[in-house]
Amino acid sequence: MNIPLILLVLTIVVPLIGMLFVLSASEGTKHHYHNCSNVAIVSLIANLGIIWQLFALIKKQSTPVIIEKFQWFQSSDIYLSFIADTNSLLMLTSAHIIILGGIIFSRLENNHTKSLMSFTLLFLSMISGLFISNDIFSFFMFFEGMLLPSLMLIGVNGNFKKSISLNGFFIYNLIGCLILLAAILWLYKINGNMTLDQVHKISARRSWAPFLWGILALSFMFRIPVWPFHYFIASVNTRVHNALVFIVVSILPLSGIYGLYRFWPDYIPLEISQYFVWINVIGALTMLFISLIGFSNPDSQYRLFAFITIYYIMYLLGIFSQNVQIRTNLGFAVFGFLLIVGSLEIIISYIYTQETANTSTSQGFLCRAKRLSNIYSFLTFAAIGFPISAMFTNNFLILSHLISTNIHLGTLLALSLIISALTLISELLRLKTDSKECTLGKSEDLPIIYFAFMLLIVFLLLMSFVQPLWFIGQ
Amino acid sequence: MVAHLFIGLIIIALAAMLITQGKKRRIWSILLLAALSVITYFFLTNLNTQPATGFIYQWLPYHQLRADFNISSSLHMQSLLQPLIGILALTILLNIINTHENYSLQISILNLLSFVLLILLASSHDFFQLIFASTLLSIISFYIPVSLNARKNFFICFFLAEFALFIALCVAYGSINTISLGDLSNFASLGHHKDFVVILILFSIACKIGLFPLNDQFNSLKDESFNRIIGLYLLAQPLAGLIILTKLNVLLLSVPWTSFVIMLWCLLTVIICLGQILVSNSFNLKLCGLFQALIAECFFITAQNPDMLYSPISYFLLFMLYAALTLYIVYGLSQQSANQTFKFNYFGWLIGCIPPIIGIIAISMLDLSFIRYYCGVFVFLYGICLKMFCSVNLISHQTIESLSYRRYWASAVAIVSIGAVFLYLFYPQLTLSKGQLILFGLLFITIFTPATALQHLGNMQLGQQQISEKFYHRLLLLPLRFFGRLLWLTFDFIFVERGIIATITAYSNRIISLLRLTQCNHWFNWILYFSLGILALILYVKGGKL
Repeated sequence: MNIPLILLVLTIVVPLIGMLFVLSASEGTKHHYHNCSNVAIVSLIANLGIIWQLFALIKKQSTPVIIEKFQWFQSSDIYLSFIADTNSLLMLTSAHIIILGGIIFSRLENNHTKSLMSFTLLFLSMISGLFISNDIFSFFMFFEGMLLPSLMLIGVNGNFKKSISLNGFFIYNLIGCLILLAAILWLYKINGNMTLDQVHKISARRSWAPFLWGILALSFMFRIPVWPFHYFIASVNTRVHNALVFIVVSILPLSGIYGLYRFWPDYIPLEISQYFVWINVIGALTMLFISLIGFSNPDSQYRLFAFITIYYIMYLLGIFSQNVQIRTNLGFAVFGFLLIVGSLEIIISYIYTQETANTSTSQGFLCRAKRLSNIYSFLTFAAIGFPISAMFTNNFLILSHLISTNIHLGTLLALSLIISALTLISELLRLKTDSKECTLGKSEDLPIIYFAFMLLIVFLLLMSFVQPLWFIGQ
Repeated sequence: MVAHLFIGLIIIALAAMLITQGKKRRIWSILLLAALSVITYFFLTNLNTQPATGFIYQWLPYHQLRADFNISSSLHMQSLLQPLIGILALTILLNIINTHENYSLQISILNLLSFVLLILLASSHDFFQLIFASTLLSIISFYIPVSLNARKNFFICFFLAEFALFIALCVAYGSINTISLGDLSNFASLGHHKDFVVILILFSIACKIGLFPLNDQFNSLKDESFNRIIGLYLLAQPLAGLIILTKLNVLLLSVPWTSFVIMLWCLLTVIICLGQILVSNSFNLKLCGLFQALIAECFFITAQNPDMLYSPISYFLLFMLYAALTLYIVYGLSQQSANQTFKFNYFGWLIGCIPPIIGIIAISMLDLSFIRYYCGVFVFLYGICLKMFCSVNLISHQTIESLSYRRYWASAVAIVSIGAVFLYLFYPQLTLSKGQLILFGLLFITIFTPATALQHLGNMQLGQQQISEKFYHRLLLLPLRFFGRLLWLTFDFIFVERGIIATITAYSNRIISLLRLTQCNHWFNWILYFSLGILALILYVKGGKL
């Protein structure tokens, strides 16, 4: 019995089974909504257990990677290959935890409909497949497969009415999909169904190599909110008022980052890498503008979106820098980052819900809601890079390398990080400035159970700083 | 031994945090002070006479990023901690006896944690521990003031200081690929962008210490209680700034212009703060001005010789506490005497004698050899105390004519006292270097500068907040909103939304409507598809024959 293969396949299958259970739940019963979210929670926890087992397997082995192969079509030599290494499992873990948080908090907002749960589980299944896929076909399947549940989540549960944002979302991703398909077919034509390791090793000195890497990079960058591809995510993220949907949409750029991480070759010749300076310039300028616009915008969700964009672009620049240390550390970077932004979005969404339910301003809410204040303060401190989570060490590594490569780029980057941090700080201070118009009080504070979940997130973040990979004893 | 002190203090702080935090809680504060006294007793009776190895815990074992958790037990560390622990005890005592302080236990815990973090900061051997201790100290400092304005200023200012330090160390790591502070000399000799690093470090330290114009966060303490101001000045960021200076001094020395800039900056700060002392009506603002001036001087001395922090300057901080406390008592007494005019002259004479007595006692407490070397600076510091005292508005009733007489009289006392101390220190030999003579001369002139001249500087100091707000709104926020709107309009709205998406949507609609036509139940469609079918059949048959 091939345990690793079974475990890898289960990470994709378990959320799908959960989705089937949710879809088959009969509507109109008294506890229908709670049952749907309970099933989703159980599926996620089960999947987290499987991921933990995969970590344990990696620890036992001499190599820090598990690779399994499954022959799909004998005639066309199409097989599915799966991989599990520390980086992919860390990203998967953080995605699971933060989606779990979103589902738990959707119960608080009484917003745990069948469609929300089922599409979330489908999305989770697709993203699990993406993070463990090791060949170009399965990668493409799961990469594009996650778009359908995202589109449905945004359209059905996003709570906003601008159809043009959905049109933009669809068109951007369609174009990206077609470009990626062209690149995948080109790769298949070169050497059949390749694993991602073999893609790495394609020599960039061949005449067609720059075009191939160019379209691959372009297809992945369609997912990342760097100019000029920022539009569809910006138009969706800033309008969505559902924490779970926001989290799902925020994970989409991660798929682009992950794609670049897996596909990007180890070595790029100088005649090609000189063009990267344009990507660096555009990335740095996008970061600066987004940070400044986020700073001036009073909407807390937009500010969080600006923060997320800046960090994704920073990771993008980190991957293009070809630094081994940054690539090795990417999983740790994303782990802390996703936990923080997901938790912040949950809290912001909770505050927004209380604001609208009580028709009151939220300014001064944290003066009276102690539990919420403690959690929000910790998350803000962690987000701005204080040494209380893994974000600190990762920012240190990435920034130090980018500054040593190019001081001007590094300075722009640092400036963007400062401005985005000041944005979050100003939001925290606004919520802590007491106001007579705020009618929210202790009764609207975070309930104990949800506070306990947030404490768990705080604990994970602290442990990620104190002892990375503590949960597998390394 | 320092490690035992560190752990003991953490245990006390954690135990105190378990107690329900509420108002008063003085009994618990007294118990906390008692526990602190016990630990202090054990620490002082077990001091090492030889340097000890200290405590090391391996934190990050990775080859490329090796970080340890260090608690140093060096002789330097012990001589730093001895006066600081006295300051801590006195601060906690002030928290208890101050009847206006409602959260004495909370503030005492915060002071205790600040002290613990200072130990961690002073023991750091790598970048991470340095930044970690400094950042946590900033977070603690955020919670000490009561007023939101002070908290806001503290947080933003110290965040910028931490980030500047972070970026400076990022640049250093990028060059030398190690986070050990001991390897900074490699960066100092071979690294790139040293000027940039030094500017960032100076900015960071200046924010923490409160050099003009980066001291607005301290001036916003004007509404805080005396015990909180003491805790923030003597057990928090200013001292952290001095410690960071000693750790990173090798970087500052790598650039030739640093010493000159530090000297000018300290001098400017001292002069501006003198103005603030004279101009402001609030005792707290005067006190803040005094502290800022004194700490600027300590910064200058430490920059010349970092080892000075561990012995003379740490004791000087104790003197600062003593002087501040005395002035606070004097101020309190004078407020009381304001209503008792018949005692005015006698009381004024009595108060006039106190500063020279304070000065003589303070100076005799300190190491005389050190005093002889930096005597000019310390005489000036003593002069600052006197100048401040002279400007304290002892009597609130402006109708009393003898007020101006008393001020001149007190100023005369100040001048005579300075002269007496000067003679006592310098006679029979003069050992000042040229630089010290120049500095002392400049500073001495400042003491005798008329108050009106300093008033303008003081107004500038107090008015800088309005200037910075105007700058923020007109030069930063307005252009930013304008360009943000312009970018959104030109690219996002016109090009993407109306150009690409609306065009594709419109063409999609047209294609769909065309396709709809071809699928509807119209006679034309029947003829068309029938004809196409016949054509396809003919082509197929013809193609087969060929």
